Amino acid sequence: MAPKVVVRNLSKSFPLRQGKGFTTLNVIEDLSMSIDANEFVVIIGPSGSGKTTLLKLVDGLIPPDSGEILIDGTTHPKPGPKMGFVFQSFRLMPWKTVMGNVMFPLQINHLDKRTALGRANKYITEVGLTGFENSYPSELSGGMQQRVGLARAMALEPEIMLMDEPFGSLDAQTSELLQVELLKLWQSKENTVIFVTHNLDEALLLADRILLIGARPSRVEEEIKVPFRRPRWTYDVRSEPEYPVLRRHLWTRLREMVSKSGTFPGVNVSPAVTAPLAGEEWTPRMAERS
Amino acid sequence: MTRTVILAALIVVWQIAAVSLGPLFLPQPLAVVFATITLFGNGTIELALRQSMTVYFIAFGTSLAIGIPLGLVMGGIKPVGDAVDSFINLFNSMPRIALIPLMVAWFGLGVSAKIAIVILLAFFPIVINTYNGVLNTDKDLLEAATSFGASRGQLFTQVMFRSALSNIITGVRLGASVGILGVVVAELFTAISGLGGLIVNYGNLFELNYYFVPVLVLSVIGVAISEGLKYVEKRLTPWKQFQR
Repeated sequence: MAPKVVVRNLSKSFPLRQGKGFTTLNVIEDLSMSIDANEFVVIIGPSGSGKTTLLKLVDGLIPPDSGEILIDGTTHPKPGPKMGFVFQSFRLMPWKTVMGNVMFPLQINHLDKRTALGRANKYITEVGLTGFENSYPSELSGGMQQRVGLARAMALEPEIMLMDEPFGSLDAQTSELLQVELLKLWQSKENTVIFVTHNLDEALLLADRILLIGARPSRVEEEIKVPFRRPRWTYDVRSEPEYPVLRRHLWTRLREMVSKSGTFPGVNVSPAVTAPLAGEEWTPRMAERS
Repeated sequence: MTRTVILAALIVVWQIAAVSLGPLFLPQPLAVVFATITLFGNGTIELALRQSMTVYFIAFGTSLAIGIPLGLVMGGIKPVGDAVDSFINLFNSMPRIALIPLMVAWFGLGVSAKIAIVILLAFFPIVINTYNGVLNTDKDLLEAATSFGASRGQLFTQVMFRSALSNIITGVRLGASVGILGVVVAELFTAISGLGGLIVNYGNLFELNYYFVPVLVLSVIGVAISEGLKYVEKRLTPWKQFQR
């Protein structure tokens, strides 16, 4: 079977303000990967590796400098209903209710009203938000807001879900709960998921395959098949004998990458200029920080 | 309760001050009440109110009808915004009251001059707030909408306009209150008419008990308009009530 997503020799850099001129910050360089249909792939890498950038490239939100991305064999992906994006910061419209937010992508894509309403109701129920249809995001907790984010992306019934640290800003308990719910939802949907995180336990619980991305400029350094049987919510994955072995391996690799690469590879400036704050992802906007 | 006490205290202070200063400087509260009854009874206020409000609503309506679309276009189409922005700012920062003689030279002393003066004052806060509202749209929300396949037009109507709405209403409120000011100023500077006209006339005649009546009427109108717009804002931006 042909793979769902193929990325070949992908490179992406951003202009980096330096003094009066610009240099470039190579975020991704010569990255290749291939993802099968209905596969759950977790991309993990040190902070500041181009994980978010990679998702945006796959979605077609930003164009690559070179290399190509094929979705079902077609190059130049365009944002749209084929792919559903879930963001770390939720990004719900504050002026829309839960229902309005879930309906939004459906209306954008001109689904007829009856179908759209049916879909929205279905996914609001699936993420457990029945009864909150008319609430505004500001009335909901972080966990509930991200449930809306999930329902919104899934209501498009996308073939590919792009998830950018969706549970990264939630407390540990809520994020564990949502990980399990995501597993259940994914199991019943059978779509392809590309999930970015830097949480090792999350990666090991969710993934069919983990792609380890190196520090900037990033490429795939290693791929790890996760052997645990599914469905994984029926038992404690962490008590499997391979679990600590895999976790230690991942952790060691991540540490190596961070220490080996120096603090800010890919650009010849003093670290202070571009240093992301602790726990912060690198964004192009950050390049303008001085 | 506290408000009633403060109001009562103010009236007492007013009464004491009025008695000690004499009616040429400050009329007694009761005299103002009688003046109010007289001016409402003989139709003076009704006529003046009609003149003032005609000017106000035509001018304010025009400012809305041009200001909001212009601000939206400036925000939505970057070259337009860049081109017009500095001129709008120039006009906004100059003391526009200084342009009143120019308006008189162009439009004479009649109703059209008054309307022009009110527009001059009310228009700019509306454009500028609309423009800034569109510009300040959350980039993350735009990116999210784009990822779901939104076109440029959809981004504008569904995201930029909606997120600008509360700024637009702020601009409308500013324009509305500065517009009332504009009406009075216009009526002072051009052919004497309306509530502003009554104020000048009674002021010049030292009939301060009558003078206070249009002043109070204008205050009531000001409060009514701003409360009305607050209500509109609540209706149009229901999510704001819950914002923590």
